[in-house]
Formats: sequence, structure tokens, C-alpha cells
Amino acid sequence: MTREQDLQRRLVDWLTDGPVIAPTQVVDEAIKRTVGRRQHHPLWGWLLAPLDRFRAGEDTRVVILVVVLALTMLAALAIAVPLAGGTRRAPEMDPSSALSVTGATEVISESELDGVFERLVRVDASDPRVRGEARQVMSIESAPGVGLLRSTGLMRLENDWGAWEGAIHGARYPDGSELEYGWLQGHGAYEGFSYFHSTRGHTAETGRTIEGAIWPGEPPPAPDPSSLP
Amino acid sequence: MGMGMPELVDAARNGDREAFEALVRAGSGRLYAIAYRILRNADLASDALQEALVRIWDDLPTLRDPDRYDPWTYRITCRACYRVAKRERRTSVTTLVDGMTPEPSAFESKIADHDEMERGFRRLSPEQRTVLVLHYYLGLTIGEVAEVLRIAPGTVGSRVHYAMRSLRASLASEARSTEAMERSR
Repeated sequence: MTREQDLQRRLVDWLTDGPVIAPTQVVDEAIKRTVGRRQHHPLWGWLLAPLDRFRAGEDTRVVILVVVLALTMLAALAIAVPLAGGTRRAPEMDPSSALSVTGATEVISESELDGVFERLVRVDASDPRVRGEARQVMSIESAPGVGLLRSTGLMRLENDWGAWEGAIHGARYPDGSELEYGWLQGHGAYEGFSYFHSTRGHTAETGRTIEGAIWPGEPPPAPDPSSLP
Repeated sequence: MGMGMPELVDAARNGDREAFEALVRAGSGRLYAIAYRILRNADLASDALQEALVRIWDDLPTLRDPDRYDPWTYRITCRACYRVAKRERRTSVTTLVDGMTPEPSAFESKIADHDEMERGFRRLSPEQRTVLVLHYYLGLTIGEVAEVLRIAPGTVGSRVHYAMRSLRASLASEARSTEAMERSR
């Protein structure tokens, strides 16, 4: 037997030797604590649940309800779109100059599904073009043993005139401070512009400080390493 | 006839409390065993288990595939252990490594071996302990551990490698200390 196998055998023996029954009072208490607690349903649950019931043929009233709701939403959209377009104009943008952005973000809600975090964030920026609600979908990974976390994902910031969308990256340091940044591409009224989104904060707080910039043109391409001096 | 596991999970995620209780009663032993082995402390393991069970109830509707219930609960339990370990680090600077003293003679060889392993294991980070528990105690493959923890298989492999290296170094250091003590007697 090699030293490695011997160590593995010792570890397995040692791990096997330990409790395998949960204390009853702990389980009872946990069950008691769930009484009256609302379960977290996924955002799409209200859409899928009626469809499941429809497939099971359990409730035909659901079908009628879904059809009525869909028609109502379509009618509301048909009325609202021309109204919104007629009364609200997108902020003017100088197509040739960049602009720095400050402000704060606040996490409204956060959920986790299969290791992927979904956040809804309120962005209260100094410039109305990058003010609104943002949805972030992030995957978070920790570095072994050093208390560092890195995150990567997508962000879409929307408001009445368009949206900013792109990849974001972040890091959480052992002291709890967090940094997040990314280049977002403008859509709708912001077509042809890009927004450098950068925030700093602390894991113990839901608020973050924005240090960003709106630039004319597309986000900068990643340089080819071979072209660097 | 009683419900099978997938049916229980399905019922529980639709808010059926009896189904949830049945699931919890059936699976809490294994979750406690995992928590205890990661945290090496009965009180902390109880805290982690309780936190995990409540989280399982809360988040059950987000579990799409009832057949993935077991690995999903392992993940929630491991994360509860990380949170408990983090809280514990904040509130206490004393580690149990310092408080442990080797048992005198009686079952010497076995107990000494047990204590050495205990001290070596406690020096590992919660993340390293977790991969060792999932891999060597639950017998999950590297790929399965990666799936449970939602990290890359390479990351799991490297955590196992460094954890075993650290454990080996601790045991070697213990052995040297014991030899030195025996020589000085």
C-alpha cells in the first residue's frame, strides 16, 4: 500500500467514525421554524404552474384565465406604447463626448438557482440614461482557502428609452469589500453608446457606489496579446 | 401506499408540509453527518443543519428536477456550513486545535491516530474539508462533487490535492514532534 493510499484509508476510517443521526430536537425545531414561512417561488413559476395544471387536464378555468390575461396585457400594451412614445423623449446625447457617471445601486432582491445568482438591482445614477432597474445573473466561485470570491455574469439595465447589456465581472476580498465592473452596450435610444459600469461596496451592505462612464461607440474590444509591446 | 421520493419532493415543493416533514425525517441524518464532519463540532453542526433545513423548505419550489433533491440538499448544507464556520471565525479566535490535548495511554495507538487526524483536518479550510467529506465520506466522484458544489471539476481536484497535501504535512509534523518527545524522555 502506498503512502497516499494509506492516508486515504486513514481518512476514510476517521470520517466514518462519527455521528450519523441528527439530534431530534434540532430537526423538530427546524420543522417548527418553517411553519408559516412562505416558500420562494421562481420568477417564472406563476407562468409555468398553470401550464402544468393545463397539461394535467386538472383545471380548464386556468386556460380561460391565461387567455383573458394575455388579451388584457396585449390591449394595455397597444394603448400604452403610443402614449409613452408621444409624451416622453429620450435624454439628448452628444454623439461625440464621454461622460462620467456617479451614484449608487441597491439590491432589491436576490435569489439563487443551481448555483447561479439572480439579482434585481435599483440603479440610481447621476445620468438618467443609466438610471433604472438592472437584472444581474451571476455565477460565483471561491478561491480555495484564501477567502476570495470571483463572479462573472450578465447584466441588463433598462429604463423607458432603452437598455444597456453586457458581461460583468467582480471580486469579493477577504475583508468583505466588493468590486464589480463591466462594459455594457447600449440598445434602443442608446444604440451606438457604451456604458462602463463599475461599483464598489461591502458584502455586509446592500448598497454600492457607482463610478462609471458613458462613451460614444461600441465597448472596446479585448486586445490581442500578441499585439502588445 | 406511501409516496416515493420524487413524489414527496414534488408535493413538498408545492407547499405540502407533511411531505416536507417526511423528507426531512428521512434525510436529516445524512445532512447532519456531512455538517458534523465539515465543522467537527456538534453544536455548530446542529446550527448548520437547522439553517439548511429551513433553507430547503424556502427554496424547494426552485428545484426543477425532483431526482436532483439529494445533491441539492448537500449543496445547501455545505453552504450553511460555510456560513456557520464564517460566523464562528468572527466570534471566536480560539480554535479547537489549541484546546485539544492528546488522550493519555489507554487506547493509545487508535486514539493518537484519531487525534492526529482531527488536528490535521481542523487546519484545513471549510472548502477543503467539504470536498474531502463529499469525496471520501459520501463516496462521490470528483465530477459529482463538482456538480454538488457548482464548481469546476478541476477546482475540486485541486482542492482535494491541496487538502491531502496539507493533511499529510500535518501528520508528518505530528509524527516528528512525538518522536522528539519520546527521545527527550
